[in-house]
Amino acid sequence: METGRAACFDGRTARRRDVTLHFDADALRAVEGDEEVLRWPYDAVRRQEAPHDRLTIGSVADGLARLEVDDPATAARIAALCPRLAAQTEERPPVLRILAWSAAAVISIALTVVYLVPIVAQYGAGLVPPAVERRLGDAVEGRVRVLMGGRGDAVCADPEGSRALARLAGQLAAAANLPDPPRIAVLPSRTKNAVALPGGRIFLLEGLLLEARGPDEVAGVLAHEIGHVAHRDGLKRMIQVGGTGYLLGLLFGDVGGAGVLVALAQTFADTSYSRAIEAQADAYAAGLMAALGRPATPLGELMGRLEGGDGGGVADFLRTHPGGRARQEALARGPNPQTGAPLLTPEEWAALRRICRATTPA
Amino acid sequence: MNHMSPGAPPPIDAAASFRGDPGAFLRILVRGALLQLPTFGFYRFWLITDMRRHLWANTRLGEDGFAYTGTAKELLVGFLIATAVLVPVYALYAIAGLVAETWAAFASVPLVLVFWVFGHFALYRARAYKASRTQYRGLRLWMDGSGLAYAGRAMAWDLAVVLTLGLAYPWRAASLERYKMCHTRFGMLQGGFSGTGAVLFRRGMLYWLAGLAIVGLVFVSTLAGRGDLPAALMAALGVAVPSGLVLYPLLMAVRLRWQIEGTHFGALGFQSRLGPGTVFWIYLKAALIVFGFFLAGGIVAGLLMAVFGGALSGPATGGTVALFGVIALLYLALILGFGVLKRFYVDRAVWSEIANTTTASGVGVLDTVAAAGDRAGSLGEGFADALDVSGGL
Repeated sequence: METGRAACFDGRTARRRDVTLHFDADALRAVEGDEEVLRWPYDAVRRQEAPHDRLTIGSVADGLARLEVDDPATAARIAALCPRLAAQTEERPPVLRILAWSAAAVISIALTVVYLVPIVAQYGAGLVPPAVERRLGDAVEGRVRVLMGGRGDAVCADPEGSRALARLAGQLAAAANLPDPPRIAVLPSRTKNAVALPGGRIFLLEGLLLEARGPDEVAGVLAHEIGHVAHRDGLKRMIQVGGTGYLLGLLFGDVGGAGVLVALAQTFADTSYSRAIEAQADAYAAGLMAALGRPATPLGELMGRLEGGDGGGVADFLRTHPGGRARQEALARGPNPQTGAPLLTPEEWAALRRICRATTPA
Repeated sequence: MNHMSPGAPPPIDAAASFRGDPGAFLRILVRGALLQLPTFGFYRFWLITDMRRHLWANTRLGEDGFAYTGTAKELLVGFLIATAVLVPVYALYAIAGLVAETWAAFASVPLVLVFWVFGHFALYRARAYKASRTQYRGLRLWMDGSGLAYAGRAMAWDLAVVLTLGLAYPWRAASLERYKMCHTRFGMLQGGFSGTGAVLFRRGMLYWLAGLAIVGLVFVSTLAGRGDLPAALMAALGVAVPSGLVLYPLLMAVRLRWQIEGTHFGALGFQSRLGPGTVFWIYLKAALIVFGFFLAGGIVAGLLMAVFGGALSGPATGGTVALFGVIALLYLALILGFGVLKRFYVDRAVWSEIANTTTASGVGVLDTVAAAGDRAGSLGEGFADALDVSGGL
């Protein structure tokens, strides 16, 4: 067989041309009448995806031009002459390479999250001016109030209680001697918690205040939070969580429902960060209390009561704080002097516990 | 729609068709779903490319088939570039959010608007990418026009739709479709769109009113029977959700048919026999299959919990972590399985139905069309992917 028939789209117009195929020594030639429509070297010819009842071919060097061959004999001749006919369709997705590169991307991002992001947070925090840090703290303050279960807009402001709080805060601030004294407020929320925001804002929730059995326990909590402020932990956490969330978001792209996994992964990632940080803040609190001549063990007792002292189970795995008992033991190893005067008189302590009888808008 | 001379219907001179092998498509989907897991989703570029290649290649207009010439690598590169471009955008977004939060908690939520603009832009550019990778009779489709101009238009119309409680939707659809089609070309042949909002409104109104009537009827009858306004509202809401689910495929069919009939390239026009009933059955069948699939998944999860659930309350061990892993895998398997079923029973079925009910007139004009246009970049599709707004196929 010296020639064959094919339908040809030459890529210059959309007109269907009925061409005669000539099988030259080194190339496939399509001719319509006297005009040579195209000439494709055999090794440039590739099969194109098409319904299986016909052979459709193109050329790697000739854009969109196509030849469609219905006649099986002609198709067989082309298949015999074109060595790389199947190259394109046989080129299935390079699965192994995709797998390898995906794994590399995942490992790279995992290493970045575990090792690099904490370093960036550590040193990056040092580059943030205090004014900006305060601004960041103000930015999250509203949201934190709501998330902490408070009414969001009120601060406890009973006059006698406020005086007692100011005295307690003043002694702690004097001992801490930070460039900006921490700004401490009590929020009317039954949640038993306290939080330090970037820039020195500390919220003590009424629930924790009522749980405490003496001024040293509250002072210990505040000293612990002042430790977070002194170490700029809030700022570092913002940098770290933001960076981690962004990187994991990049990684998971749009696999359906990956948001859940991202959140889970982030909790795991944050936990290891927090454990070390909390221990450092405890150590700071112990030092601060010792400077005032007061023991830090009451803080440990409070934590022990709060967390029920259990140290196992999945809940502990996910918790952002180490178990109460472990912290209690660490605090018991501190100096814990009893030499200083009580931080509050019994009357002041009673007044402090009643601070939420009156509130003012934040 | 018929503005032709009376008694002379438009000559049908080519029928579209889809003759894809269901098994081949299902294999592409399952393989893609399985590879999504170990590649952390990166396989999606290859999956979507394989799907498009299959759908395009098995679709014909008249004697001639379409071909999809895009590659997964292009999509990957587009995604990576889009991600790189979005790094500073995300950072600026975060800073703007922090500044806004200083004024009021949660004030940053409206900043989602920024991504709304980006989303429309990305969808337009993604359409340009897909068009320019679509080849038919040796020429390619291509688009010009501006993604930003389109985003501006789309947002103005979105606003109008919200302000009119949805009534402006048909006119929005007509305006946006006109913009897209007037900037779409097949070689030198200029595209256009002649569908109007009024026609879409008229065709969709029947279903819309039927839905309103059912909800209204339930509301009034409950109110008359029980004399209890909250109960009547609840009953109406209870009917509104299922009737919305029933109406969605019907309205989608109406919209698709209107869109096909309004589309033209010069003298080349299209007719459609797409029936709302057929599309409705496609969705019903898919919904039942997906329901069965999730039921099976739920039973497996329940059995796992019943057998191994005790381990969760004990201390953290390797077994607990392994159980967590199994649950996460099961969860992913359900999500991926849902994707496979949805693409097979909805996307493919609707595609096939559209193709097999469409005919074209004036195909002769194609014989004189000369080549023009170049390939559009894949950045738009990358943006759409990075922002999770990808318009599917």
